[in-house]
Amino acid sequence: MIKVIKEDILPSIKSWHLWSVLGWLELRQRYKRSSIGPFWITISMGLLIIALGYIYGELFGVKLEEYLPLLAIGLVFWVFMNGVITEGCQAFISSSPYIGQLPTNKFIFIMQTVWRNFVMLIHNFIIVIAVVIYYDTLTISSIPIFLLGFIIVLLNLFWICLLCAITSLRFRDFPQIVASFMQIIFYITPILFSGTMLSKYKLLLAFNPFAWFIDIIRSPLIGQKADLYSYYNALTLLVFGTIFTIYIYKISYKKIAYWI
Amino acid sequence: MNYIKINNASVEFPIFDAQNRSIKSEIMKLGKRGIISSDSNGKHVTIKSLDSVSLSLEHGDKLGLIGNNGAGKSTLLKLISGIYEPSKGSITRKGKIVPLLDIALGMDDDSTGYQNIKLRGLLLGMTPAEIDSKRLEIAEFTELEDYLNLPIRTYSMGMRIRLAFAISTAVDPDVLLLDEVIGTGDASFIQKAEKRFNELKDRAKVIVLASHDNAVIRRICNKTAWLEGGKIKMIGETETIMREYEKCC
Repeated sequence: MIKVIKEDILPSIKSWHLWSVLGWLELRQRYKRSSIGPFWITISMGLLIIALGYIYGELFGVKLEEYLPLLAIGLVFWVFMNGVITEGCQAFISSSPYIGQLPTNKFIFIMQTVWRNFVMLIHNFIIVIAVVIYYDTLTISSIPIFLLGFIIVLLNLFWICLLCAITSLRFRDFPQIVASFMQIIFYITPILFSGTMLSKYKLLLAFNPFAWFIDIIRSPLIGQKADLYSYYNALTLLVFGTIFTIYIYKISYKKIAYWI
Repeated sequence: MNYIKINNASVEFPIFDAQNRSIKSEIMKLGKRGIISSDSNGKHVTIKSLDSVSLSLEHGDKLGLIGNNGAGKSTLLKLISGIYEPSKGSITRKGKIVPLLDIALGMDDDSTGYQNIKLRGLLLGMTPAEIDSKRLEIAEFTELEDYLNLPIRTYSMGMRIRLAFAISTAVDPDVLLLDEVIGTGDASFIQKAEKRFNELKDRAKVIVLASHDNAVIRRICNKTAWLEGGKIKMIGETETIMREYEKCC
């Protein structure tokens, strides 16, 4: 396991020149020759949040100043997590020309996927900043706590992305399974609503990793304290998930070129 | 010093049809095991592209690979390059190995010529500093001048090949792997390209070249391996092997 970390994962991270360029090119491809380019992400997300904010705020009977920050942060970070995971399924599949023609390190393609989604997150994050400033839910002292939560989630996303990439390469049904799974997760995770609204089905929150992730990212930004339970679980998941995934990576590493 | 040492290596490809690749069929297989005897023994069909190949290459070796289509020439190149790891046997590689199998791989249509120099360079394993130091020389060789500031989708086919060729031949490999000799279609350019290709050849310490062109093999290689059905049928000094090869085929 040390070998695959030393010979593939670390050198991959170090060649940031390559994965940042590749990720960036892909993003540019999508918004080719559009004048505001990736800011379309920001605009469509902004409109979605406003529309959902008014309607669901009304449906749930929550005041807009409480609901909008909750929704905006939840949705922006959900789109990020969902993007990393569903596109992670394609990370190796879509890079098969490279894998079949060049002896590159393979974790590069994971970095590329996460990076591309991170760039999109930065675009959407403008909305989060606008909302938390407008509704004044943020205190300076909670920024480090938010960053801590975000880093824990980000590291978790790395192993999930890699695991999805390997599994999808070998079993081509897996991306579809993940896509429909994520759709369900979206509705049972406190994104459009808050955890307290779902107190009747506490179990859905207790065993849902995405509920922990949203909790440790969102709570500091809206002036609440995240559950210690969420940190504890997210960290435990990080440790076991990473070890398990690196083990899977180790045993499948040599086969990746054969599976494309 | 042995740059490449291959010991009894085989490369076997599993053939997954849509059936085999799905999770459903894997799970169904689990359930069936022991209850209903399935006609397949649970193993995938595999194709042996290379079968117990042994080979070692040292400084100064210029190895030619000959053989029919499907003999395993490209697979052997990919094994040496590290794209494939042997499914049986072993291989050790030393030095910087650069495969030039598809010289246009990774070029981006919407990036400018200069951006593509950087992108291709990174993919070929150059460091950013190395690319910067070679940028001018590459640009000069292409003779594309101001075009290099335009996206390459505006280029003609010949211009693209010229750019791809210029970047790919700027590498400094220890071991250079080639699938047919790379060249440019542009007639006025051929001589210049040939000179540059020869310089690249001289920089490389070891060359492995797969080709269907016997004259090219004779000109470039001092050793030749004749592959057939994934095995090395004969290996040795180029002229001896070529004579045998031409007698039979």
